[in-house]
Order: sequence, then C-alpha cells, then structure tokens
Amino acid sequence: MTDAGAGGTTRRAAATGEATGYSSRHPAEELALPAAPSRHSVAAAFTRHRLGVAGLGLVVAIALFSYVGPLLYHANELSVNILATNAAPGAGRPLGTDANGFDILGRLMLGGQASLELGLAVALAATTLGSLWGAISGMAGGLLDAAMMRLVDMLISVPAIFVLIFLATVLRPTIWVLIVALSLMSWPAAARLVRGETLSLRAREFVEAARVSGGSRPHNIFRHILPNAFDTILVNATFQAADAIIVLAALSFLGFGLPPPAVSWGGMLSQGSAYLLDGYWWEVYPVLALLVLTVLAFNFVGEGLRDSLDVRLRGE
Amino acid sequence: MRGGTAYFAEQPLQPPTYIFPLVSGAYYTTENTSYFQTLMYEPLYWFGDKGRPSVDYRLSIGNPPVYSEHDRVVTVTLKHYLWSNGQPVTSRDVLFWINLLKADRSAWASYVPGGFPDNVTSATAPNPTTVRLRLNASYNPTWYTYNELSQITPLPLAWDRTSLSGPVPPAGTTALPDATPAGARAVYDFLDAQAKSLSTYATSPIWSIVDGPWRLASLTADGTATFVPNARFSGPNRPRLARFVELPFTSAEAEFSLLRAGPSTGGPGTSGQQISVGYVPDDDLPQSAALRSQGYRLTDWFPFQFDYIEPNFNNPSVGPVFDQLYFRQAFQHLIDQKGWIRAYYHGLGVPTYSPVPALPANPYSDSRAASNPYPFSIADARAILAQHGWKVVAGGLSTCERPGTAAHQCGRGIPPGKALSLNLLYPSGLSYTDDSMVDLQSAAREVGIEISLKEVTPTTIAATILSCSPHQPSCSWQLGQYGSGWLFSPDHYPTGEEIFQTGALGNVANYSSPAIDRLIRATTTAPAALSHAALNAYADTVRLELPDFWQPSPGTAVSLQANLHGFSPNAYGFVNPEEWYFTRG
Repeated sequence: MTDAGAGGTTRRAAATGEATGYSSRHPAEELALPAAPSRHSVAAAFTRHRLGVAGLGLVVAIALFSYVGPLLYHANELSVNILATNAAPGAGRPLGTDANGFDILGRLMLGGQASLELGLAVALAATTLGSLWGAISGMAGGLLDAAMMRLVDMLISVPAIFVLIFLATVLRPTIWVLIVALSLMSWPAAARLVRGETLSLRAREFVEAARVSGGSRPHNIFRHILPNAFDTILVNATFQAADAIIVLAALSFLGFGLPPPAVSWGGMLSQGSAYLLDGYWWEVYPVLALLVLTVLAFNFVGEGLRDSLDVRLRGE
Repeated sequence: MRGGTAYFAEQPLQPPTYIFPLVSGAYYTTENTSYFQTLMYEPLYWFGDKGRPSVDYRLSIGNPPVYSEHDRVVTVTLKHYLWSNGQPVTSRDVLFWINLLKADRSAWASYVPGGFPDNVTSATAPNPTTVRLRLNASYNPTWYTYNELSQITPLPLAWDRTSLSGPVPPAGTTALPDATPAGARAVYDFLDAQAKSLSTYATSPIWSIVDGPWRLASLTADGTATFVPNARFSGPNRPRLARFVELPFTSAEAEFSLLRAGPSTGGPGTSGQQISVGYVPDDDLPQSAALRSQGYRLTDWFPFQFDYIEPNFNNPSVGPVFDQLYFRQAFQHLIDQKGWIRAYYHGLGVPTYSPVPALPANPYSDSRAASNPYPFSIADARAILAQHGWKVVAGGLSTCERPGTAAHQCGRGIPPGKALSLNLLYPSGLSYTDDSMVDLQSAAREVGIEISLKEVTPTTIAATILSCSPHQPSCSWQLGQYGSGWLFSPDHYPTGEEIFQTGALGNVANYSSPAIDRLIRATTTAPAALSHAALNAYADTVRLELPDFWQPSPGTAVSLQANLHGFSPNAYGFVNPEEWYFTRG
C-alpha cells in the first residue's frame, strides 16, 4: 500500500485518536474526519482476503513468468522457422510451435509483458486523468460540472472498440499508441466514480470547513477530496488494468493490435483459433488460460482491496 | 435426373448488389458479375472452357469473329438466341451496349483509355445477325477477341428507355433513345437507377427480360438469390435443376459450419439448410478429410491469375530504392513461395514466376513461366545488397554506404545513410496472408530490411493502395498486398496493358518502363502469326524486371455434394449451374 498523502495521513490519525497531533495544520483538518483504516489494518485485512491474496500471487507469478522467464528460457521469437510450423509439444518446445514455427512458451512470456505493461499503464493514466476530472467536476458544481459530465457521458457512449479500430487503421498501433488510446477511452469511468465520491465528500464538515477558512479549490481537491476517494480510485485502477488487458486481446484478436514482430496474447489467440479444429490445442488453450488468469487476478486484487478498505465489509 | 435445388455459397459478406451488366468500378465484383449477372445476361463470348482459360465458342452467342483488312475490321455473326420476351438477340442489341458504353465510358469498370470502344471507329449492323467493327489500327486478333470483344454483353432493346412508365420500344424500331449520345446517357442513368433498387430486381419488367439460362425469382435483403430456369432459353445448356440458390454468409467460418452440419447429398426431396457447391476456407483445409468422410467431394480450383505485392515506385522515401532492379531482385529472393504454399496455403497454391501464369494449364505461357528466376535465398539477397553499396546489418538496419549511380553503388536518388525501412499494408482476415507476411518480415530482417507490417481492413486496402504522385499525402504507402491476385477477367488474354503499362488504371504501383510499354503494345498489335512470340517476349522480360514482387497465388478447395455432378471449375471465375445435375443419393 502506498501513502495516500497528507489527507490520508489525517484520516489514519483520526481513526486512531491522534487528531490533536495535527494542531499546526489547517484548522479544517482538525475537525472530525471520516474513520479510515490504517495502513497496517488494511494490509492485515487484505492478507485475510483469500481471493485478494490469490489474485496478488497470480499477478506476481505472471509478472515473474513474463519478465524473468525469458532470462531462463531462451527462444527465438524473431526468426520464422517455416520447417517447424504447428509442431506439437515435445522435447525442446514444451508448448509446441505456432503457424510460423515460433515457440509458444516463449511467446506467452513476451505476450505477458505487453499485457502487463499496457494494463498497468492504462490503469495509471486513465485513473489519474479520470480522478482529476471527476474531482474538479464534483467540486465545481453548476454549469461546469454539468458540461464536464456531459462530455464524460458522451465519451462513455462511444463504442470504444470502433474508435480503437479506427485509430489502429490510421496510426501504426505501437504499445504507446495503444496505451494513450485506451487511456483516453477508459478515463470517463473513473471520472464518473470519483465525481460521485466528490459530491459526497464536499458536503462533509471537514471539506466545508476548509472551504470556509479560505482553502483554495485545488488545495481542497488535492488535500481532501482525492486522498479520501483513494479507496475508490485504487480499486477502480485494478479493474481498469483488467479491462485494458481484455481490450488489447480483443483488438489483437481482430487483427488491429500490436503488429508483428510484437507479440500479444490476443494475436496468439487469433492465429491459434484458426487451427483449433485441426487439433492444435497448444496454440489456443495455454494462451487462453493465461489471459483469463491474468484478468481474474487483477479483478481478485481489486475485490480484495475494496473489501479491505471498506470498513463496513471488514466489520470494523 | 432433372429437378432439385442446388445451393451455392457466396463469399463472406459479398452478396449481389448490382444487376445491370454495364457495371461501374464501385460494383465490379465477381459476385455481381460472374456469380449473378452472367447467369441471366449472356456475354457475347463465354470464357472458360472446362477449366481451361480460353474462349468457349460452343457456349457463346457469337460465332468466332472474323478479322479482315489486316486485322482492322472484325465481323461477328450471332447465333439464334432469344430474349425471354420472345425477341431474338440481334446485332442491334450489341450496338445498344456499345452506344451506352460510348456515352459514358467511366461507367464501365473495365474501360481503358484508348481501348474498347475508343479503338472502334465505326460499329454497324448490316443485318440482324451481323456486327461489323472497324478499328483504328491493326490489332492482335486473339487479344482483341479475348480482351475487347469479351467486354460486350448484348442488351435487350426493351431496356432502351428512360422510364418505367414510358413505352416499351416496339420490335423493329430504329429510332431508339440510345442512338444519340445524350439519349444513351439518359438510358444509362435510368438503368443504373433501376439497378440500385435491389428490392425490385425479381419483379422488374426490365430485369426480367433475360437471354441467359436463368431468371431471378427472388433476392432477399440478406443476399439470398434464387434463380429458376429461363423457360425460353435458346442456348445449348438448358438447366436441369429446378432452382439455383446463392446463399450469403457473414464469415467463411459460418459457411464451413453449414458445410459440416448440412447434408452432403442433395437433389429433389432434400430440404433444410445445405450447401451443394461451397468452399473450404483456407484455415479449414486440414478439415478436408473430415468433409470427404461426410461424403462431400472436393475439387481444387485455380483461377487464371497471378498474385503479387505492390511496391510504390512514387513513394518519395523508398521509391528510389524500388527503382533499382537489383533491390527488387534482392527482395524477390526473400519470398519463399514454395515454403509459403507448403506451410501456409496448405498446398493449395501455385507459385507466381511470370505475369503469364503457368497454371492452370494454358496455351499462352512458355516454359520459363514455370521456373523461378529468383528462388528464395537470403544469402543471395544479402550478396546483391552488399554488391550495390549497402552495409548489410543482419537483424538491424542496412544502410547505403556507397551512394552514387555506378554499378557497385546504391543508385540514383538514394542518399548516403539511407536505411532500408519499409511499411507494408495487408488485409486482415486471411491467416495465410498473416503468416506469410510475418515470414517475409522475418526473412527481410536477416538482410537488414525492416518491414513494418500493418494489418487493415480490405476496404482500407482498396482505398489506400492507389496510384499517386510523389507529392501527394496519399503516396505514403510503400508496399501493399491486396489479399487477392490479378485475375484475367474480363481481359482474358494475359497481356499487361491494364496493370504494367505506364499510366494504366490498374498500375497502382506507378511503375513506368518505356521498354515494357513497347513490349505490351506489341502483344496487343502483333498479327496472329507473331502474337505468341510477342506475348513470350513481354512475359519473359516482365518476370525478370519485377514491376511487382511475385507471391504464390492461392487456390480454392471447392466442396460438392456427393450426388451433384456437372460442376467444372471455370478458370475465369464464372459459374455454370445450368450444367449441374443431381443423381439419386
């Protein structure tokens, strides 16, 4: 867990009865703040969340597989071997080869790198942008809030897959292009969530007090709103990562993902599914399993975090 | 036996969309022409003779044309054919077509400036069964028959009108609207508008007048076309089937699923969803044995075509590189045609070594068409580049280190340090294309050529790989692959005036070579005695000059219900369901 910033610290202090220790802070911060779990208690709660722990373990395992694996298992994923296409698993190639003679196990590792990098980058970028947008919108209220949220509504109503296919057609879909495009398509969901949190938080006494005592709007957003919406933001980020991995797979499956020689699980799935009826199971099921496990893992982590951060669900 | 319904599988997402045989580029597809229009409206000459790429005079309305006055005059006599309204097919019907074509040449997808009908100085009908065309020069008779007369489809004079409510021209009328250019244009506009109303096809008083073996009984919104025999058909092959139905599919897999699920025998009494004549999608070729065990018969179909990758000679960045013959030779060495056919085409492909293909067997190609002048060899590609001033970096980027125009230098327009980095567009949805492009990328990397692959929709391909000038933004494409080859239809004689001649509409690569232009002109103008030599000279030069990069031409595995007979693959892509029949299952 990361430190949520000054506001987060304030929340933890309030929960542990240490509010007086902040007498030098802004007067508003000395007001009773919402009870929040401490870092230690969240970690403890998370460790008791079986799904969450399993998910985290899987994410770590998949990361090790994707990044450490290639250091231990060497496969040539750049040169086609036309004489060894669609070879069944056997000695020297534990998961066989694909239609170009590439080693499946090695490609699973490289595809994992792309999925993890894209998933985490999109989660970070979309969540950051969406959180700021939602907080500003919620704090501003009035016409500006309405305008900002209508833009969010508009973007959410645009079918992301068509926009992404269009972008993949007019641009060359590198990992960075996909990260930017997916982030731009994903942030509205975070914005909507954080705006809802902001509307709730801004009516709370400590935010009111901060405003009355002259706290600027940016100050209130960064000092009070975002730190107190951190639970929501963090949980949302894990789901964003899972969604981004699925979208990358879908795009690649349709042929609009990362172009060769880059490897993606969706691209592998697309190529392998063409041969499914031929009995080349090794070109479909391992990558499908890994894709499902990765998405599940991020979702489990998200659920674990949500339950651990939510006082009510923890029964505290 | 007689009767029964044969079901024919259309290509995915390509239902018939245009019925008028004078079809513009926007509607010029095999599904509209060869699978739809020609069933109802017979061309003057029928091409494709039991799989052989040649004219079939037995099935043609026209007798063999007679060339005279040093091949400047061509005379065509017509057999006795009838329209379904009882009127005979006459020479005036042929002139009707020519008049419409002359009124708006751009409306005809196969129009080539200077070609038909520009090369006709006068067209006359001295009697109802004779058409005489006077040409502006002497032309190779074979070329003129196969590539120019092949474009003619007689049209019924009952279509020579400008509105549905207008009077039907009475038989024998001479002063018809198409006699003047303005009138012909108005008639074309009317027929074109009618052809865009798909829901009226089956009931239209226009389109119901046919001279082919079939008439359209219905066309549904999803593209299911049902034909019944034309009771007044006067040609040699009267349909034996009771109905012929073309089925639309949203994907090749959907078609294959129905093949697997449907009955493998058809004929009278069978019902339900089935495919009498279908195709095995390339990805499912390994399932051929399973289909055979179900009872289907499979037959290979190789159209008369060649396949290729287009280089853009006008691309400002890499055009000067493509201009170098040595580079084209090196690049061609990177294409493993036999390997691709074995690994990716499941054996169902023929290598392309010449613009006059050796397969299917034909009387046009010479022995050289079957041998590869640039066999797959990374070592040869590397050596050629190194000999011409490139610092070859395997796995990296090769750069020009000896600029200049001498024999051992990179060549004109290539600056020092120029890197061999290319982008290549190819269509999505074809696994053998996906795999072969990855193989090409891999082989190119071995000699330091970086190929950036980009997979786009076939529509984007069609809209992007176009002829262009270097200064145009649209000229940014560098290498392009269509996913389909150059099929010799309706220009059935394998000359290159539509694809390799300077400025030709099909020359999207912007290739230009005065020497090749001269050779192409010779193929179209040589007298009959020299025509074969002219074609060989053209083919043997082009195959070495590489105006594009040859790649294997895919074939199709056609599936037939066990008791359906009479099917023979047509080298030009036409279908003849009037020859099909069922035996008792």
